[in-house]
Order: sequence, then C-alpha cells, then structure tokens
Amino acid sequence: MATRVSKHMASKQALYENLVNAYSPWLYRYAYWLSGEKSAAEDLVQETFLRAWRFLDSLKDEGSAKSWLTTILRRENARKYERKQFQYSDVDMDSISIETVQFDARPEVSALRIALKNLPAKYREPLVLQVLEGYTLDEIARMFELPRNTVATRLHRARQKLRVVLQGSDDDIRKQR
Amino acid sequence: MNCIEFRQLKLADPYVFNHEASRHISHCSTCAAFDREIQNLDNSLRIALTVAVPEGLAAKVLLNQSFRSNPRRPTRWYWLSMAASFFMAVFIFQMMPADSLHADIVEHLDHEAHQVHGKFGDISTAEVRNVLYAIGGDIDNSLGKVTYASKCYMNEQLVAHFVVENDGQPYTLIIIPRESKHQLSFQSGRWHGVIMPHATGSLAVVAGAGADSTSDLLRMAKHYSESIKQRPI
Repeated sequence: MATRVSKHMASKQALYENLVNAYSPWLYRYAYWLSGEKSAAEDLVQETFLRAWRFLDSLKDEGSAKSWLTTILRRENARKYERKQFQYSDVDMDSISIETVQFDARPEVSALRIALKNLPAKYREPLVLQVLEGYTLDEIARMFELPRNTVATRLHRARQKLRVVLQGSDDDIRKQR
Repeated sequence: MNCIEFRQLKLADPYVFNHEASRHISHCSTCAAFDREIQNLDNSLRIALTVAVPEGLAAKVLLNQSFRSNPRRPTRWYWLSMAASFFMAVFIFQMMPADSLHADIVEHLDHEAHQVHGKFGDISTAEVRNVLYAIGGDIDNSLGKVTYASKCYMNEQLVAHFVVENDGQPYTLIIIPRESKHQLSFQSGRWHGVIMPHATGSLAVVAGAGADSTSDLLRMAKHYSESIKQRPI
C-alpha cells in the first residue's frame, strides 16, 4: 500500500515537474500581459502551479495541460488582481517604456509594447493567446465562454488600434532620422 | 470575397488559410500589400509580447511547491501538536454543520478542471451508472436528460458530477460520498445551490445565481435523490 502511494506521488511529482518546465515561460508571459507587472505575473504563476498541484489528479489528458493551466491562471488573475488592476492611464509613458525594454529595444517594438499595455484587456487577452501561442478563434472563444464572432471582432479591433499606433511610430522614427 | 471581407478576415485571424482569400490577393494588389502589412504587424507583435522570463522561474515554482508539500522533518512536539489539532478538528467538525461542503462545490465548479476529462453530449444511462459506481452509487430510475458526466476529485475526494437538463435548463448535480447532517442552501458568486443528506453521503443541485428559487432546487434535489441509491456491497 505504502509503495503504491509513494509510486503515485513519484509519478505525480514527475508530471508536475514536466508541466512546470514546459509551461512556466508561457504562463509568465501571459500573466505579465494580464496583470501588467512583473512581480504580479510571477505571483500568478506561483499560485497557478500551487493550485495545479492540488488538482493534478483530475488532469487525465496531458495534451490538455496547457489550456488547463491557462484557465487556472485566468481564474487566479480574476480572483486576485482584477480589483487592483494597474491603471496605465495614470502612469507616465516614459517610465513604462523604460521598465518594459526587454529582449528587443527597437523604438517600434517599444511603441508596440506601450500600445499593447494601453489596449483594453478584452482586446489584449485574445491577441496574446493568438499571437504568442497560436490559439485558434474557436479555442479562444471556448476559453472565454464567448461567441466566436465576438472574439473575431475583438481581435479585429485590437489589430486596427495597433496598426494606427505603429504607423504613428513609423512617422516619428522617420522624423528623428 | 471582396476587399472588405478580406481585410476583416485578416485582421481577426491572419493565420487561417482560406482559398477565397488566396484567390482574392492573386488579383488585388492593394489587399496583397495589406496582407503583408498584417504579417509584419504580427511579427513585430510576437517580438513585443515575448518579454523576458525571470531567471530560474521554474526552479522557484518547484521549490515553493516542495516547501508546501514537504514541510520540515517533524519532531515529537510536532506530532503532539498534530494530535491535539486533530482532536480539536474532530470536535469542531462534529459541532459544525457540513456547510464547508458548499465551499468545496463552488471551488470545484469555478475551477473547471473537471471539464478536461468529463464527457459531454447525450450521456447514456450506462455511462451515468458507470460514474455512480465509482462512488458507490447506482440508479433506480433514469436521471432524464444528462449532458455531462464525470468522476471528479473534489478536495481530494472522488465525486460524481453530472449536468442534467430540467425544463430545458442545465443544472449541476453532484453526488459526494461525504455525509451532510442537514439540508442547506447556498448562494456564492455565480452559483445558487442546495445540499441534502443522501444514502450515498450528500447530493447537491446547483444552478446559475438568480435562475431558480431555493424551493425549486430542493424539489429537484429530492427528485434526483429518489432516483439515485447506494450500491449494495
């Protein structure tokens, strides 16, 4: 009996470690764009995996693990951070651009990051899922419990808004040169 | 497909392959340029969204989990305090109505982990029976239309989780092999439900908040409790 329990724990631990190693980078990036802060994103990832550990026995299909973890993270975010969402409109744009310069610091990328942060969450969230992780419209609609057409409209509007910003930033760069 | 339809499609889902869209750009240079612009936008977006992940994040997560699940090596005082806590918990539990059950149900429904492996669609009586068997239950009469069935873990306890239809409306029905001493109703966030004692332990019927009165839910719970019985050992 004790051997069976310890075997179960060992396989649970191994599965858990695989999930953490495979999905923590994606979950962190998603959490970052949901919460808008590095420390909040890290907390969200920690909370997500702690909850995942508690409910790991209920995950029967490892193929669904990413969607499962993403849903847990969305729920955690809604529960913990929604009420104290960072108000980007109150923040000095220059300070945002300094804080978010990571990996690629080209002016157009920085402009896009600021524009992404200023996008309403309902436009930003599906865009992150589609662009970063290749979720389809149907998968996003299922995750958000929204009609497919509503998700399509939000993605359409998100790209329209970003195009405008990017065109503006192109003009600024040309003027600087 | 005209230019407006093409642009709507590309702005909503640039990654989808569509024959009509391909045909359209083969003879419309403006939309072909638009297509390239959106591809460039998405390439830049991918770069902008790929923020740096803190170094050692996975290790920190694993460390945090190991602290929570493997606390320090227990001492004699630890075992004594554990024993005292255990007897205190038993005492409190006996004094308390089983209303922590409703918190577990709400957490379970909010969590959605069960949806990963549950079965959706028109669930047959044999499948309903199969789920009930896992928790020591069985059925006398059909539960009517069942659209979801799953053996789930709720607070590390196996439960039977169904979605049943009643007058065209979906209701969650959960059978928990944990005894509840009293009948109670609860309202929490988006859920409104009732829990009643049952031969298998407890039976809960849950609806969306504001959808039904407590007495309607109790009537339904009574109806299902008559259809479900404990399996003879």
